[in-house]
Amino acid sequence: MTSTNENQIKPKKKKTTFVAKLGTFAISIFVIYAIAPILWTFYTSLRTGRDIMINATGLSFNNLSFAAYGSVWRDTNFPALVRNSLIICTITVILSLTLGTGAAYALSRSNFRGRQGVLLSYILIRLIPGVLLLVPIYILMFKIHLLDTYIGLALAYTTFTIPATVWFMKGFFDSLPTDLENAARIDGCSRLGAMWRVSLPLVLPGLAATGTLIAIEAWNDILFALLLTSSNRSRTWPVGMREMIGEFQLPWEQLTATAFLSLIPVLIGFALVGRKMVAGITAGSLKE
Amino acid sequence: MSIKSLPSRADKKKTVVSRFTDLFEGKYFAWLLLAPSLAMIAFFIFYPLYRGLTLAFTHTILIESPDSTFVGLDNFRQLLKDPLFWTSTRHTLIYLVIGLISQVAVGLFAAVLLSRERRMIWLLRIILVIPWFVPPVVTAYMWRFMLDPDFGIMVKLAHYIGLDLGGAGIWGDPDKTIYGILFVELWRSYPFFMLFFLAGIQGIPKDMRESTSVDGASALQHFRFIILPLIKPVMFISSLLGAIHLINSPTLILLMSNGGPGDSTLVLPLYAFRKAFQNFDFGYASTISVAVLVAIAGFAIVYVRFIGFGKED
Repeated sequence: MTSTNENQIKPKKKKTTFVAKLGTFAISIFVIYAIAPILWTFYTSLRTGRDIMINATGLSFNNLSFAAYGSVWRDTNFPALVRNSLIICTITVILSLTLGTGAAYALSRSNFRGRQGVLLSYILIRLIPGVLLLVPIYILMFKIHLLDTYIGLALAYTTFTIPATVWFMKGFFDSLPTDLENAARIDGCSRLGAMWRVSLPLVLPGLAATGTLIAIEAWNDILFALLLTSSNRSRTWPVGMREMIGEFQLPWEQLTATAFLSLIPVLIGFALVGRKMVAGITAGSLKE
Repeated sequence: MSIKSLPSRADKKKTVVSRFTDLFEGKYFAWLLLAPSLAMIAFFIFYPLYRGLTLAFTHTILIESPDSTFVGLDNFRQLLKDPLFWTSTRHTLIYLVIGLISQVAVGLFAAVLLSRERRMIWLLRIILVIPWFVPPVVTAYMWRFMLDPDFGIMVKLAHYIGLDLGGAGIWGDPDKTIYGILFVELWRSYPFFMLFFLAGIQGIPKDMRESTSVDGASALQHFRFIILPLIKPVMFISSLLGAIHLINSPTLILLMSNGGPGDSTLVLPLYAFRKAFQNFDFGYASTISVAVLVAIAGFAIVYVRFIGFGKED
């Protein structure tokens, strides 16, 4: 910008408003970047196969319908796979929250020997290449007869979500004052009782956010699911979707309908506790 | 701590249950709560890690026999002579370097934009994080569709700005495929860096900007001389984690190109995955994985030495 007289009189104010406008513009670009692909997918799923074939990139609002969703739900085994996924997610969330919250509480409230070592090991786990573990975990699951079972996959997910669970929940416990628990203990509460009756109710929002995060992780994963499931008995939806696309050359409208259907639970979870989740991730990440 | 000095439960009836709960009152309280999660980690991470490391020195091909025979360094010798190993190493490096630079740059830009306090900014933050939580399968096929040479909206948009992605398209041209996947990886993964950087920037005291602007610093100077140096530790840690993620997770490549066309997008973890679950050569697959582990450890050491502590000024 060339400096005119006007600019020299009030340079500061002029500059901030210009920068602010530029910032707003850039943020709008980022918002479009984030959600336009999802909206486009949704839009495509509402169109007919013929419309997509003729004019794939055109935007017209004629002939839009939820027909593709109906045929995905009726004609494929997608509902069964979603059921499997939901069961596995539930087991994972319960296991991971139970084990992880206990560990987080211990790490937050007592100062015992070896505490630093435990904390460090939770971080170091993240540095281990997952691919190195895939083969041995496959062999291990084979040996303990947990291949192609709900519990086998849920155990794998639990193990890999525990470190994050511990870090998150520890952050939430750390932000609580200890006075309340001490008061409960003086009134005759056991240590577990103090945790259960006093602290846990106070971190419930955090617990919900962490649980949602675990659920999304388990819902989204395909690598372990590909490896540890082999039939419709326990196969999760990502594996099924990959197969449907490979085998049946799924038409675009059904493909996008499947994609959007499986995105809905994630978006709902995000809408409910997204704010807390983002706060938990940023708070937890900084302490590492 | 004050908790320890407090009296435990006043009335003690020694039943089996109370004896069990009493365990939690003593000095083993913490360990009892930690035990289940540590046991799981030991069983499902550390034991497999040990197994993986030892498998790398064995000949284990499941379709030939269920047993594994110790062969020493044979697999590693084979690895060094394996052209496909070197090809996948090169692809892994491309994926790592371009992926990391693009994600850090975009993540930093977004974080700076989102760090300003204004109404409803938390909503914008959540919206921008969404791509990170979209299932990889959905991300992969959604973008494959949008980048399809015949049906893709992105190809059409690219055409408008003079970029020709037609012909064989991104998915048919071995020279383009990896960059196509990197483009998708950027969409999916930059929010990870954004969140880290955002947390770092928010840790900087608010009045800092006021004092620099009194001294006549522009927004750009403030960014260059205040924000950037102060979030360096955060950048350091997040880049390390992001790099490990880029090296380790073949999910998007597996879904979008499965290493093809040809072997033009074959990366190390995908190569190991292929060896293990297509050829059932578990020994050699573990050898490749160990090479990845060594590479990550090497990268981490170099990174910490030269970037972490080298540029303290």
